[in-house]
Amino acid sequence: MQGMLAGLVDELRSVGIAVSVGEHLDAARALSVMSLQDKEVVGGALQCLLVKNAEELEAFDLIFDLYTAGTAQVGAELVSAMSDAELRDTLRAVVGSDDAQVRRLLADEYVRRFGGLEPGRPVAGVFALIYAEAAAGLDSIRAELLADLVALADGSGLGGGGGGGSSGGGSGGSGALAGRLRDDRADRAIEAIRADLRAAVRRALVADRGARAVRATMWVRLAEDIDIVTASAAEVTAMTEAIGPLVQRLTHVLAQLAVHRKRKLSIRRTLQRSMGTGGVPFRLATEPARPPRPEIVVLCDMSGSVAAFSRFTLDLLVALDSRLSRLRVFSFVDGLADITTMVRDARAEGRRIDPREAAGGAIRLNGSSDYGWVLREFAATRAHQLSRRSVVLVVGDARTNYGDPAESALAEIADWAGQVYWLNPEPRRYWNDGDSVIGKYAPWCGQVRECRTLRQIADFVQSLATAAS
Amino acid sequence: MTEPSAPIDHVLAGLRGAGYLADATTGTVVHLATELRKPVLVEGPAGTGKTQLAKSAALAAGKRLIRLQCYEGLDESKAIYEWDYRRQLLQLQLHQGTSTTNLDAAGVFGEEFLLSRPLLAAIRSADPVVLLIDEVDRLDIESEALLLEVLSEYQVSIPELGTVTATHIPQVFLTSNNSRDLSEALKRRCLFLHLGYPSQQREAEIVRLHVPELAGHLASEIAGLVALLRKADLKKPPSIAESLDWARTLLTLGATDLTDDLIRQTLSVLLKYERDIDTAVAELRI
Repeated sequence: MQGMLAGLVDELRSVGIAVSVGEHLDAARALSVMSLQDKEVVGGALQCLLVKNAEELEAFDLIFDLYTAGTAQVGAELVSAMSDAELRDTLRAVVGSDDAQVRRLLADEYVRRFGGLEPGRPVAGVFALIYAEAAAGLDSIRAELLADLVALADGSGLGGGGGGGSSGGGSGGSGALAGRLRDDRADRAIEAIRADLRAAVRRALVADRGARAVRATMWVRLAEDIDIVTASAAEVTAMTEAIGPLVQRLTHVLAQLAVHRKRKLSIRRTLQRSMGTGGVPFRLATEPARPPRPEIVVLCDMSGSVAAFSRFTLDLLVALDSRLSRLRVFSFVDGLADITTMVRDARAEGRRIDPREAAGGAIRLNGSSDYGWVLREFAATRAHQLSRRSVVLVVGDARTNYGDPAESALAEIADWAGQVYWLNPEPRRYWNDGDSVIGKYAPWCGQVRECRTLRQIADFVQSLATAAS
Repeated sequence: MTEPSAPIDHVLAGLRGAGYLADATTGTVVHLATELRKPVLVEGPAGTGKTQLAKSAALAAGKRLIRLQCYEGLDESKAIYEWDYRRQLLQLQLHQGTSTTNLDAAGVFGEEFLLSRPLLAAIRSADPVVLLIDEVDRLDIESEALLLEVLSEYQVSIPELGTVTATHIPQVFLTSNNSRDLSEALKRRCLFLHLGYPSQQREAEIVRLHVPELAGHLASEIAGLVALLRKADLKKPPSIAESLDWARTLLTLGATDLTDDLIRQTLSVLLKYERDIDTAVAELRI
């Protein structure tokens, strides 16, 4: 068990969950004082000792499941002796129940029988999952489950019908709602079985190849490390939730910077203090720290390829609004639009910024990005509003669709502004390939950063505050 | 269940007796906390029973509950201890006549001049207690450090007096709404328990336990509807506390069936934002 724990801790660390030595020791201590019979209990115990962030729980569950995949289950022989029909009946009986243990056994058995996994054969788990789901006949089970629920509701409806004449009208009114509730319940039950089957496939793969190999192919990632451009819908939700705490942390970091900075000597207050010592200034006084408040002008590429990334950058910057002396936001595709108020309103109402809405005013011709025109336009109409204290932030992949890059316009902007930074959500190896002209813009930028995850955006904002101070 | 996991079942039964339906993980964590003598950090959305867990644990164990409500600007004198300046001054005045120049002889730094605030009170208590430190995430990061000595060593150092060590190790619960990341130092000392929204079955049971007069089928319908609403895009999804409020409302109204009209009229008990109510009406198509 201790060996398993060491492997588990290693693996947690390798996906970015920080586990300290103290926590590792605590976990070992916990295992020595409790029963190791029940896997759920052991999982719960290790989780509360090793993982201290809600965002990391899912990753832990997955990894724990992988590392304990080999443990034998009570009742496995019983299930393997069943015929296919019996197996299906049992599955039908446990769908929608809370009996996770039986569901797990059944899922294992389905995958063993129908998954088609053979030892040593490099076959993708997805196929095993498809076969097992087809064999389980989830659609027909869902239909039966719904029928049962309807029958149940009718039964209780009749019983209630004796109570009063009004109940007939009442059940007619809530019929649609009751239907929705039943649908939702059936969906959830089927989804639970699917998850069980997925887990069973993973366990089967682990038995064949070892936990580490399976984990490596599975992309266990924390919300902060998800590649924004390629994120799935569920991952986007996770990232949205991660923004709140991230902003809190950044706010704190920014505030700290102000405290630790070198401060100016305050002559007036030093003289006041020296009164007690007969005018000899023993103790120096300094001016109160002024927090670094950069003025930020963001130019966001809202064209399809990078819109998702732009949105997250905006979310983060707008959330930090109170820490910035001024934030102006422009969106561009092949036109340029000032969307500062739109972004702020969206935030005040607590809704996400819709990329299509933001791109609305920024499309001039055909909706494929034209960096040259945009930079020239910005330099001509807006650049004179910039000052030494302003930081211009361009968010985009610098793909001009083979148009004129107009780097001289960027040079002009850099001349007006204090600093120009470029955040590029493309992997570095694709830069300057095809119609990407990031190399032509780079000389005028203070930094050109590859920025693909929330963590990288946060790092950048932090460096911004340091530079401004 | 097998024999050795009996202590966990015991914890669960105790909590249930105190009116708290916990899941297996919660039981495991509470059991381990007493076993390893470590504080429990409970995190999760508002209204999922974080504070209630501590209260029920105290009730189940028959211990006194000492509560420290955290807020921004909480300091040592409010959280740990304070010297009773007025009594100290009086004492000094009493000694003025006796021409002593030695302050210690006046004895103004004795235990009797110490005002215990929640943390010290929990440490000094003669009987075993449960200490609840509510909403730790509201503390400034700097003041978090106030808690560290108490949480890891169960002692308080008072420069003038020495170290006060706990006679009975208190059972400690910290709650957090995760409005900011807590410091690593604090998290390292605690067991971490995430309380999310319960499963539909468990929620129905909770409703039945707390509002037993309500018709049985309504309880599961409430749970189902609330589960449906939690999936919708709401600013503040309804919590367990709100489903209980709703159940009580329905009971007061003497409802026997959930009709569309009834839901529309009472939705404001469940949802606290105008926009959420609009979203919910659209989502439920009522």
